Amino acid sequence: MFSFPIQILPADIAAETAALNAKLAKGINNLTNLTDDDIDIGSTPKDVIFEQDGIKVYHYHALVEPSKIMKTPLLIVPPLINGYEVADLQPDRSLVRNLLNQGIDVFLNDWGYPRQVDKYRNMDDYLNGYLDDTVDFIRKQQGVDKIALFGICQGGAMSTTYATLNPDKISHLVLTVSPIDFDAYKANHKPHEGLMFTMGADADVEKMVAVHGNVPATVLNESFMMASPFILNYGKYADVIDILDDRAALQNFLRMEKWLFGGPDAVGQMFKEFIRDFLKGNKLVKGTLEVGGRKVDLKELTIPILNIFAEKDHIVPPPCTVALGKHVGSKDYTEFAIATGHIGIYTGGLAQKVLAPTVGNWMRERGA
Amino acid sequence: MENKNPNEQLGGIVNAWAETQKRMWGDWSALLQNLPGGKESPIEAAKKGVEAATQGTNEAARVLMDRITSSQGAMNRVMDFFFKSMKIVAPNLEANKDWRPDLKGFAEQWAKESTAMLERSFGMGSHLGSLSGTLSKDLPEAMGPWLSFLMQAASSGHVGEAMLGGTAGINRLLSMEGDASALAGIGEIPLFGASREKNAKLLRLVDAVVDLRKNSLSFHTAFAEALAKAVEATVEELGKVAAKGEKITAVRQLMGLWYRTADKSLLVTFNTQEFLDKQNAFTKAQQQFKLAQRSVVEDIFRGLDMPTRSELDETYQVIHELKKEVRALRQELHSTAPAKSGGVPRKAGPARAKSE
Repeated sequence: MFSFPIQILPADIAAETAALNAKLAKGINNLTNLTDDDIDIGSTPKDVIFEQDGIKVYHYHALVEPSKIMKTPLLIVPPLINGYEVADLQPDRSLVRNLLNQGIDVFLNDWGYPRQVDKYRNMDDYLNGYLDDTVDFIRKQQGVDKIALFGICQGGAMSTTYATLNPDKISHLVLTVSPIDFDAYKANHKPHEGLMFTMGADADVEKMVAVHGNVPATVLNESFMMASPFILNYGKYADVIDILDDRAALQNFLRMEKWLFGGPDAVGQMFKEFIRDFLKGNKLVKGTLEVGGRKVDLKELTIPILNIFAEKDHIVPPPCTVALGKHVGSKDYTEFAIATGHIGIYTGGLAQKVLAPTVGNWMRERGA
Repeated sequence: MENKNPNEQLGGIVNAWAETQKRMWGDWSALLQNLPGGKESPIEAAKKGVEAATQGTNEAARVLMDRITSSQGAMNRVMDFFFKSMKIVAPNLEANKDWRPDLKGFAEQWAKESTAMLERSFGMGSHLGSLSGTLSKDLPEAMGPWLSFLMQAASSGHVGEAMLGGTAGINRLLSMEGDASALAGIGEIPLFGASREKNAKLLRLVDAVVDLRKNSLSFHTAFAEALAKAVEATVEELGKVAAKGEKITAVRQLMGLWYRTADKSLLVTFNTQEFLDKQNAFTKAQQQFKLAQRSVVEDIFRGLDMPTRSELDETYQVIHELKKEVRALRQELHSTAPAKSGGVPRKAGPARAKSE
């Protein structure tokens, strides 16, 4: 006979409830005393050096003496659909700080929060307009011919496209968890990998944009949470009760929540084009992508490339990232794996020790 | 409780779970008794109390508490589903019988209940009969009898299509099905003259509601089936726990097992084309509903001399095109201007151009 393993005694439930309530009471006290300043994200000191249509370019203050700063500026290109703060979540979990400590001169493009008036911005506007203006501004301000690009997720696909079209302006390309080949995960498909791509490929994006204008961040978050609905919607909040009485742990949790649910909406036209050309059409690797009337041929991407991926990435499965190596013309192509997930590559403990030093060494070895 | 049969064990657990919820929220409510909302249901009281307690503090903290309290309600429903499922499963499991058919039946019933709940919360509970009443009231009285007939005739199909002619509903109304009636073609005649277009928009909205309800039921049924599969997977996991001689002695331990197993199982379902098709049909029906709703609302706005979303969109598009033109002109200006020494010429406008 099946020996039923659930042996929960009413007395145990009572004790569990009492312990939980004690934590809740203390947690409410903690929450009441936390201010917005305690849940700061993106706090590494910086200057806004260029601003256009709500898009800001930051130049971070150096953390090493001037003689140790590399001469090639590095521009971080975040995704359009997440806040840039993932690269600078908190002082002890900050890609930006770690890069600065490597002696890299760090710039970042903050795409901001689009409004309905921005809904007609397209791929051409973002790459040949805003990103190109940013790159030119940094080149002029810093007095250099070329700069390095550092792409984050979707920002990596955009950086790859831009670098291919502008070999005269970009010297090095660093990619992190960047989707390049949107079909590559299908060959050996595991259910937990690439669900957002699978759902996106079937979605009627035209209608979605017709309804929303800009696709709300909440819609994108919901599809993100479909990858683990119970844990991300319920389990996480049941578990947080355990740390409600730990002020520091609670602050860390809240910073991640603030970033996760505080992201921008996706600009309607750009979103349509990205889904159509990159996700559904897979045009970047097929060699059929055109931006602003110019064809994007990855064989013309010949600069040094460092392609970093997360081994446990279920949002952008590693095969979708590393496929780049097969398509580019660069003879200096390096891959680097970190045993973490899609977000953990920026905020996880292991990544704090590994990611920036890898980028720093790679750039130094290439005369940056 | 040890060594009792699964039915008795589960009966005790379900009661204890209900008691836990009562105590947990009851205690919390008591904790917040001096704050607004203390006299309402425990969860609502906690929500309002926390809102007040965290007022003036940070947004993230407020959002978190809202998520904890909101997810608690949803979590309770999910745990409720799980415990009830286990009660269905347990007798057959004990008798070494196939427990899956009963579980499937329970899941289908649960889907119907949850869809009805969603419809109520979305305000979509009004059926065609009550809609008929609304339309009859708002439109000229003379139209009332027509609408009543139409509602009956098109009760199995789309009311909007029926009114616009050429569909099964209107044909049934005029008894033309299968006959070469002298009345054939009458369904194509514009029914309401000058106001036909406006009525058409209203009725397309009705069609969209019908479609949304249909697709909502289909999607939530698929979701409930997916949950039933997740319960199956959890029963198997419990079997593994039992085989190892281990026990689950805490609610949160059980929740953890259920969540982990359910997530894995759901992901398999979410990747199937059948589920994706139903999800997409539901999403499209929601979008179609919003578009039809907008179409009607825009007519009202026009009547009030207020700008509509479509008009604003046209303005946004013009602004976008003008910006592109300005940028192109600036580029042209820079390329024809005499070159300055050093640096790279700027393509963009002022260094700190303000956003509009």
